[in-house]
Amino acid sequence: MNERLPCGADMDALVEQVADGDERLRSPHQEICVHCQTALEELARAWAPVSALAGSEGALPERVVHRIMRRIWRAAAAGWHTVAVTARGKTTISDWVVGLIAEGAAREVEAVHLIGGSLAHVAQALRSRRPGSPPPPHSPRGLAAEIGPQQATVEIALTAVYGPGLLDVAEAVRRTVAERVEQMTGLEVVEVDVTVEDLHVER
Amino acid sequence: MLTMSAESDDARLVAAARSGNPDAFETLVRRHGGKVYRVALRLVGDPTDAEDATQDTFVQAWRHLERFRGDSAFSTWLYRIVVNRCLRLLRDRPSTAPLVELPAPAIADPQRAVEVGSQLEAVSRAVLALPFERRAPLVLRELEGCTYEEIADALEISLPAVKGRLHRARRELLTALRGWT
Repeated sequence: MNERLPCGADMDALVEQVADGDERLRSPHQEICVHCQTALEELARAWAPVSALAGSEGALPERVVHRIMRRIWRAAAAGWHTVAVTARGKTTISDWVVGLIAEGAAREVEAVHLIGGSLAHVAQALRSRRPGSPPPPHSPRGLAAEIGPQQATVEIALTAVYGPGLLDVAEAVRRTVAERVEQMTGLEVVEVDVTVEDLHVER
Repeated sequence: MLTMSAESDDARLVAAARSGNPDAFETLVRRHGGKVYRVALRLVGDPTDAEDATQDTFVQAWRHLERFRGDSAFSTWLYRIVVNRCLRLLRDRPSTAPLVELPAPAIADPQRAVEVGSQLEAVSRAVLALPFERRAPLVLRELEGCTYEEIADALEISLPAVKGRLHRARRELLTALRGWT
């Protein structure tokens, strides 16, 4: 690997020098050595497009900023839902998390290219304990309600790939999202609204 | 008059965002979005995937703001997240062929623009051809101008490892570039 010039100079060191932009800061040896000078010039020429690429600024498209902020605002406003209460503590899930599960599920569908965002609403209805029925075993005092099967609705926006029928894609998303959310949270998904925002065309 | 450095200003915005202020976070997105997007674009190649990775990076940053301790710059922390997102994205989508699309450079002479454009595309392809573990340090160093310390921090590897990988990446890239010049 350690290539050397006829003058003994280490090629690796010259590569570092050029990549660090120091090809003009020459050592006394390099000032007089034709091998080093030729190599440095050749390396600098080969390296020039890398510096050019560094200078070709790519800004974040405005619509991506919007997409990010839409998700941040939703996350900031997300509600919390107690989905299970046991004697040893309660489990609370943010509807933001339900939304993320929905996104993960939608990504599993092959024709989905990109998720624009999701929003979940969890119905907050706690089913009151029927009057007269015994309290749940080991239930701590003050816990008058037991958690019934709760329902969630999910909205999801996505970019599909060009080709498959969009109604079929939406249906596949609906099925997968409902399955995953139910599996992971125990929430019953009663509605999944799918918005196809954009289409990805392979070039 | 007190001049605030970009870093302490970032820290102030992070504190505001952490207390639940999305507007402060938006300023951070606008300030650092370009960097994150460029790194993602050069790591994954496809602009749509890069947008996806950028979006996920900021959403993840928002959710884990309390984990940002301020030991490193906010941008370094973002680099760490985006590199991981890109790695996962490439693992999840091995079938996606990298498509390279770069903004056209602003050069008046059309003949020269075409030349430079295709040169840039060729470099991008050569960068994309590097293995991920060497592509990441190379992109951070040569294209984003990070210091070796920042790269070590972003990639969570040692300083000698950064130097070693970077060195190899530079050699490989030069070999590829010399092949077509």
